[in-house]
Amino acid sequence: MSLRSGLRWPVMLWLAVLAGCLWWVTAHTRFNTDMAAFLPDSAAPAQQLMVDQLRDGVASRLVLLAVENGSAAERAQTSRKLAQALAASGHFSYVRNGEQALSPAERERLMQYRHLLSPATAAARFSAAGLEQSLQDSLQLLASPAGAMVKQLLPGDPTGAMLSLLEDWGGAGSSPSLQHGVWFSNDGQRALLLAQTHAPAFDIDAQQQVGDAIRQVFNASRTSPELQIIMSGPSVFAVASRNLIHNDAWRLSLLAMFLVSLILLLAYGSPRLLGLGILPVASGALVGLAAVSLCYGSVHGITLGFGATLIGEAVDYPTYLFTQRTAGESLRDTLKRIWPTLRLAVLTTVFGSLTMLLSGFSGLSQLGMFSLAGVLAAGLVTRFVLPEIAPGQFALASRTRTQALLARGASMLSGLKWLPLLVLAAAAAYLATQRQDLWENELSRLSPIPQQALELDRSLREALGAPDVRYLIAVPGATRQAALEQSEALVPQLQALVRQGITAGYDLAARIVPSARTQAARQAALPEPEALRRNLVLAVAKTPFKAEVFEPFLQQVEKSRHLPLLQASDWQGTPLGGLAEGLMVRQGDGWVALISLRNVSDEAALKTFMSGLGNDAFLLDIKGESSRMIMQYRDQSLRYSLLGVLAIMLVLGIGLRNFRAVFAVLLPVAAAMLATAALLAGMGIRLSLFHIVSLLLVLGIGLNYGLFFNRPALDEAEHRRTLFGVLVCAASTVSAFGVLAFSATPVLQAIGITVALGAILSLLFAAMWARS
Amino acid sequence: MITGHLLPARRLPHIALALLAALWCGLVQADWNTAALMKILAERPAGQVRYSETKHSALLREPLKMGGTLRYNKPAFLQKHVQTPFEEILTVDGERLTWEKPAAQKKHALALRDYPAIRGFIESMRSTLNGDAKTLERFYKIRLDGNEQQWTLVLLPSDIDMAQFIRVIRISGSKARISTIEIEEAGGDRSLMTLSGESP
Repeated sequence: MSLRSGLRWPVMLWLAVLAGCLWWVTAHTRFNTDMAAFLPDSAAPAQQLMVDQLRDGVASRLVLLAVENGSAAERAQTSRKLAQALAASGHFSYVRNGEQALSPAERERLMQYRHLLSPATAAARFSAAGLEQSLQDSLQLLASPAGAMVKQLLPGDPTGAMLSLLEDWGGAGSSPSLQHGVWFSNDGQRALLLAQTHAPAFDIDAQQQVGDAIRQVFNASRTSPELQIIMSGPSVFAVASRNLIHNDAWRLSLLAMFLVSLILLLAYGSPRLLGLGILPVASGALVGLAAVSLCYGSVHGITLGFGATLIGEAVDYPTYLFTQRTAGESLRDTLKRIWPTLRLAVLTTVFGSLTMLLSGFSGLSQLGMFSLAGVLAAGLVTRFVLPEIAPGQFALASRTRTQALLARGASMLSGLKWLPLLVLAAAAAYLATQRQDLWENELSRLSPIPQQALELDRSLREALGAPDVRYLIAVPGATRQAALEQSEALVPQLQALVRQGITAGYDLAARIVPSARTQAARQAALPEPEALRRNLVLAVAKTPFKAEVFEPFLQQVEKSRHLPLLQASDWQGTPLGGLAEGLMVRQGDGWVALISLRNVSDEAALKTFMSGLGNDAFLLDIKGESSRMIMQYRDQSLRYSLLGVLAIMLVLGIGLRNFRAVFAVLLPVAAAMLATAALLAGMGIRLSLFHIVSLLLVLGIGLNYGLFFNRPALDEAEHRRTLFGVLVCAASTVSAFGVLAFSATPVLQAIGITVALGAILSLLFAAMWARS
Repeated sequence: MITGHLLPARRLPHIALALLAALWCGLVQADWNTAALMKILAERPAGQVRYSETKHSALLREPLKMGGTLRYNKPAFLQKHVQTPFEEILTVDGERLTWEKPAAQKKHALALRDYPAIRGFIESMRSTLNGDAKTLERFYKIRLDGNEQQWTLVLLPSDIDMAQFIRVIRISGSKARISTIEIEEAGGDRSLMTLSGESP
């Protein structure tokens, strides 16, 4: 008894570490889904900018809303109530439904600063001839149906500066048609709304709350139960895909867990061992999580997902232990026999992960850390904790008949040693010929969002004239003012772009807050009071207008000459202010002025246009850049995985001290990995990052199969037990991941099919090279 | 008839005649109301008329005289093509107002929602020409004077926004033909349009 309690220190240590990890994870670990983790340290400015825009860009906070079904009047009424309630909810910086294009505060700013904002402000416009032209235009306006209304504006604004600003910002040209006073789609079937969230787009939890709030507000404000709401936009998609993957993963995991439990129960014949068998991998996951969180401050969602996949091999450790036990033997004695092999199984994965850890590529090194710490912890728990807490005596099903059957099968397979070699060569050759089409570069195909939803988004975006989510023009400058000036200089070319129909419109911050230089130049173009009065008198004489009518104009021009220049802060709290802020981005020491485009219709023409610009401005292709970034991540993973394989070979060499044994362990798993990749390619599946991570798991478990198949056996009974153990491991892996292969979520499907296929092939090939 | 007994018998024929006349008029009047006018206006096909307009404004030293054509089509199309003294084409279709100045090669587009007053103003012409009583009633209190041969539709803006700019609009005509549109703005400015030469 005293001996037993003296040996309990590993259990105490284990419990202490688990408690510490649990405390750290629950109290301190932050999870994020920030794409920036994928950025290599030496990211190009375009990539930095792209990540910023994806996280929290001009377009990414926009939520497009549509109310459908019911009658048009009900839709319109609901749109009104919804807009009001959403604006009051505090989640949005603005909500628009077409009721009023500009807020009173915005109109007031435009009026006050009209001469500094108007691109038409130039000295010639205030000359006698220029004013005469303006007055002729004003006369026509006065005689038009708008006359009664603009009559009030005319005495202060005969040059029409305010009117053209209203026209620019009144939403004319790009906004949806109105029915019952609110925006409707062209077919009249949907009332449309546009809202911008306060919460950043990358904060999926916050965006989920926003989505829930919208639904709640809609249910409370709809005027008929028939009415339905549609939500769309980047943040809506982010929430939807997370939930889709989450639900799918949860459901399938439960099924997989059930299947694995069933297999292990059949194998051991003991529910108690089943419970013990979960401890190493669960401990490993917790330790991995805590280790990443300690070293990196936060844990990326991707690390968690991929990491949990990678340490999947730790499920096998207790299986190897339990199935190797002979009748009446204590687990401690069993471990003495199998520990050298199990240790090598753990160490190969640890060293394989080490290369990833050292990659200096934060997304990848987190993954390496998780897998290294997790597998190491699971191995140590299997070695030191399980024998302590396992009951001293327990009955284990002997399954001798199954084992005998396996032995016969294995000896048949051992005659096929040439097959893995052939497969390896054929798969390598096939993959080499398919090199061009091997990789999936179209990220959207990995998204669980249905195509239909993407098309709906496109049509809503077009109807609302909301900015394009894919393309932005970026104009860098050393200072905020320099970037503003550079972007202003592009306006004539942008107008040409619109005239050619390549884009429906554009927005830039300089339209709302022109650069100081431009404002000062416009101010300087305004004549002194005496000169302006002389010019006006000359001009008025040639029109039927009365001279004294335009006194307010003279006064207001004089006021404009002395206005402090318009600042971004003057727009604070207005939608236009929010738009201007979103379009100016600080980057490094400098600034970037962004130009958002609406409804880009011709991407090739846009690219040609950009290449002809010849200044620092560049086209930011958000979709293209993010694909490129993920590709980089994929290539990096591939490179470090290959380095990992080298490390594994080294560990095997040291551990086995026998070239033939290293070969017998490595060849089957290499053949299995290449054959899996080739089979996937042959099925027309393009490989992505997810397949690579899955193949790394195949590498981990396949090596273990090889190691156990090749460990020296004392007698035929031990050999058979080994065969049985490996088969149980393979069966549980194949059933768990085979379930994932039936997922509707492309990512889960990719992982499932790759691992299941890889495990089957590893098992077969390893059996062929098993020591007999 | 109680009064009949109190009246000299020789006057009876006059009274009978007067009664008959009143009865006849009443019958006719019963059929003549806003709905009836709108109905005959709505039944007209799309059309085009010439017009001349005189605009009096406090901003102007002398009235401005203009002329051109008006085109209208159901449900919501109106085009006012000013030909003299300058050329200008105003087109309203649905919610969108386009304003074109061919001489300057300029074309502007406004969304009518931003200018409820213009919207109401335009409806006085667009809805009347197209016989759209429903829209007209959204913007105006309507009174119909006269008879089918010589009617005057008096439109008083019901919207406060619009009443700021327009005091009253009087549209006169005979049967389905509109002859004048007189607009009185707040502050005393007014314009008179005379329509002629209807050509479908």
